[in-house]
Formats: sequence, C-alpha cells, structure tokens
Amino acid sequence: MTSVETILRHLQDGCVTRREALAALASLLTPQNVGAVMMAVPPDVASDLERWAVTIPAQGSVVIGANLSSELGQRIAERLQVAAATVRAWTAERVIVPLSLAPGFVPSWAGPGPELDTFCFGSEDGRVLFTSLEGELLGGAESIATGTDQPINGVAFLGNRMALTTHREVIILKQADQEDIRPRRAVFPTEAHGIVATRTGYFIAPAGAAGILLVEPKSGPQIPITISRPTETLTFYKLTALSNSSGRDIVVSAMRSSGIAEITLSPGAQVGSLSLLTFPGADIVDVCALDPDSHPVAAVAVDKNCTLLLFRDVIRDRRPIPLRFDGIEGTAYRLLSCRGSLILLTTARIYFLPGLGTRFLEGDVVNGQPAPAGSLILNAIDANVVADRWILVVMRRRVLRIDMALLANQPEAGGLQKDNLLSSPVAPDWQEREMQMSEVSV
Amino acid sequence: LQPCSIDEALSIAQGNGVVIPAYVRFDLCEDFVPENAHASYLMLGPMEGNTLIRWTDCLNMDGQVPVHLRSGVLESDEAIVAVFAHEAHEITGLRAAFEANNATLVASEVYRLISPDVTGNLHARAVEIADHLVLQMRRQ
Repeated sequence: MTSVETILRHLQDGCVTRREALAALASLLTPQNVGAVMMAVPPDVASDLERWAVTIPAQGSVVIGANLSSELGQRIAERLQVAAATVRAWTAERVIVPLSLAPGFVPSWAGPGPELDTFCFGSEDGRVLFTSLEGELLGGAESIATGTDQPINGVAFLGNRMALTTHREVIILKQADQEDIRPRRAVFPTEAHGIVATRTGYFIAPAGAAGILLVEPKSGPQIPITISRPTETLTFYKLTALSNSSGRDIVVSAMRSSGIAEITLSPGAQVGSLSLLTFPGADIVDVCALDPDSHPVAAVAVDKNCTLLLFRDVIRDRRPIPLRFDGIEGTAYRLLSCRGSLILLTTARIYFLPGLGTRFLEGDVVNGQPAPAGSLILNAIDANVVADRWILVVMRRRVLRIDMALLANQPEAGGLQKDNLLSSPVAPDWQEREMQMSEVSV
Repeated sequence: LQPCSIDEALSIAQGNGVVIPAYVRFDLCEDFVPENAHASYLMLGPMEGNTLIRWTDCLNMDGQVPVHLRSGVLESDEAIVAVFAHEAHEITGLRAAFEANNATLVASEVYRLISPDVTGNLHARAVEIADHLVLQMRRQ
C-alpha cells in the first residue's frame, strides 16, 4: 500500500491532481490512524480533507475515474465513504474542545497569547497562564503573578509588554530586556473593561466613566499613560481598535446608552474629538472589527437587545445597517467576528451567524433576508477570537476552544442547533454629536 | 523485458501517429491505476451526480492532466501506442466537452463520457482508435 509520504510526493511532483491525492490519502484512513494522518499532512491538505469528507455522499453516487469498472468503482466508493465518515467524526470531535488549565486556575478571560500560536488565560484571582493552541501549558503549570487578586478581564501584548485589566486597575508588565535588566510593573487604578493593542503600538483600555486610557509602552523606566475623556461624562464600555488607510488608529467604542463612539487618533495618539452616534433607548454593549485586513474601517456593534449595527466605514457611515433577528434568546453582552462570521453571546446562548459579515461587506442585502445560524446553550462568561480561527469561550470553571475553520466545513458538527433567523425591520432614530476630548497625563 | 523511459515511450507513441497534447503528461504511478487497468487519470472517487467538476480539478499544479501508468505498459511498443493513444484521445475529448460548458461539467456527465461501462462514449471511441493505431503499426 502506498504511504502518506508517497502520495504527498506524487502531488508535489505533479504526478497526481490535488483531488486525486485527497482521495488516495482518504483511502488510507481508519478510525485508529485518522488523527495521526491528519497531523502528518500539511495543514492545507488536512483542511482540504475535511472539506472533501463532507462532499462524499453516503450512497447513490457516481464514481469518477478513468478505466474504472463499475464493480471496482463500487468497492472504491464504499471504502471512501467509510473514510469520509471517519474524517467527519474526527472533525466533529475537534470543533469544540474543552481545554484543561492548571488545577485551581479558575478562568475569567481567555484570548490571544504573545505569539500567534499561543493562548493566554486570566484567572479570577489575578493570575495569567499561557498554553499552546492544543492547550498544553507553556512554562509548566506556573502562572504569572500580576500583583493583583482581582479577576482579569482583558490582556494584550506589545513586544515584551503585557497589559492586563481588572475592574479596578490597568497593569503594565515588562519583561527584563537588554535596555533594562529589571522586570517592571506599572499600575494605574481605574475601572477597565478590557484592553487592546493598536497597530501603531499603544495599549488602549475603555475605563468606563473615566474615559479611555492610552499607554505608550516606551522603553525605559517611565511608561506614559494618558486618560482622555469628553467634556461630558460618558461610559466607555468596550472598544476595538481599527486602522485607516493612512495608518492612523481609529478607536470605536460601545458607549451603553450614549451609543457608539468613533475617535480617530492623530500621530502620537493625540485624542482630539469624539464622534458619537446614538438613538433613543440605545444600550450598546460591544463592538468589534468586521474584517481588519480587507475592510479596515468596517465594524459591527451590538445593542443589549441583540440588535446588530453594521458599519462598512465607521467614520463615514452615519446610518449603520440595523439587524434585529427574531428568535434570539437572552440579553447580548459580547460580539465577535471571525472568518466572515459573527458570533453573539447572550445570557441564554452563543449564536453563530456564518458568513453574515462577509455577505454584508460584499454588498449583499442582509436586512430582511433569512440568515442561517447555529446556536448552543452555553453559560459563558466571556469569549475572544484568536488568530481569526479560534473562539475561546470562558465558562465558569473551564474554557472551550471552538475551531471556526472546522465549523465552517462541517456546520452540523459540535451539536449546534441549526436555525434560519429572520430579521424584523428596525429604524433607529439616529442622532449625531461631536465632542472635544481632554487629556490628562498620569 | 526492460521498460523504457517515459520520454522514450512518448517518442514511440508519437512516432506511431499518437497526438499527445501539451496539457497531458504521463507518469509511472501504479498506486493510482485500478486493478485490471493499464492506466488511469481523474481518479476522483465517489461524488453526487450533480456535483460540479471544473476542468481545473482535472489538472495538476502545472496545469496538466496527469495520466498514471503501470510499468508493464512501458515494456511493449504496442502497449505504449495503445495506452497513450487511448488516454490522449479520451482526455482531448473530455477537454472539448469542458470547453463547450464553460469549463465545468457535472459528475454524472464526466462519468458518462469516460466510464468503460457506458457504450459509445469517449472511452469506447478511444478503444477503437487505439486498436486502429496498433493494427497500423503491425502492418508497418
């Protein structure tokens, strides 16, 4: 029998087509070796095998192959149908995986680690852990002492700086480096609801009524921290950082009853004015970028009542597209975008809206159209996207890793309840305001 | 018998009237040849009949249709002419069918065109052409 290596070599040498190679690889699979084979092949080939598996009909198919008799074709079909079922079962097991963290580590936050192939976890008692993408603890089971005993609600990285937030403080940790042999720690006492790193190299945290907190993680003993707040008290609840075509940072913030704020930072992270967009009865609880690479100023916000507000351009769009789906249960508190899909956490469920972001950005009419959706009953605390592939969902005592690439190939996997959501017309009475921001250096 | 190389086989085939398009390549690749066959290509396996197959699905990374051969083919000039003529004719006809349909055919149509179990199709015609060339070769 031919081996994985031989098939891949044939593919590389051009002796077979990609589709032929996939069928040949599949014919080697058994329930016993499927994991080993899928790990042995390059990731793009493994992804293609997962896609291939869902295209193989269980029965009643034609078998394509030159000089292939019906009898032999039937035998090949039977073998490949078993192989496809094996791949599908293997994929389904990996769509949603509970990650085991260190004993006694009660997670409060989970998201991207300092490297692309790492996860980071914050705990209820202020500790931080790192794992590989497979959930293996990095650096042993030792968690990083952050100097706080408060639940971590946000972590971000810039170079050798790590920024953490809790409901009481923002902490900047710096590893020792060539310029400064001492690890350093700076603490700013303020409420904070998370923290992000901008493309131009700043940490920005929504600090509730205090404003937004900007940290420039310079080298040296001083860490410049600035609080910017508008002329009247507003609540900066959650934010995302975008980058416009000229490379400037744009902060978009969920402002609860004050709606959605857009702040374009000038060079040096100078905050000039804030542009507010709201409507009567608004309660905007979260906001996220839609596709930062190909649509850098597109974003989506969510109201507590689960209405989505979609912007192709957060600076120019003064009338974002409102989408309120019938049948969504619970109160919204988290919204994520991953691989063109939107993920909404409510107090009742986690909803997956596959391709909704992509369809909107491609100019499709999304309002009034049925939207395919999948949902799970999950008692989630928080969730974050890692590397535009993984969703880490923080539960009471564990973290679930959801693989959005596998879920896209096999939407029925993972026990999702499938639905077709219909949207009701919503016409918010939009109101716009501009406000000056004032800065206080800390 | 000592099998000849692919290049030698191509020369033999072309020297006996087989027209081999540039988008077809031949390789010794026995693992991809079905039992009781001398050659194969497009070993895609089971599909729903209405699955769309694009012409590009038939091509390798260099844009060629790879034909897989058993080594036994390369041990006989007659086998070379018969097999190369058969596959080249079939693939040429298949390409024309794709071209006539915006480079896309449904799987059931591809099956109908190349299956040995369907009468009067590209495969059947390829058998006749290969037999004709071998007979001509014997006469010479």
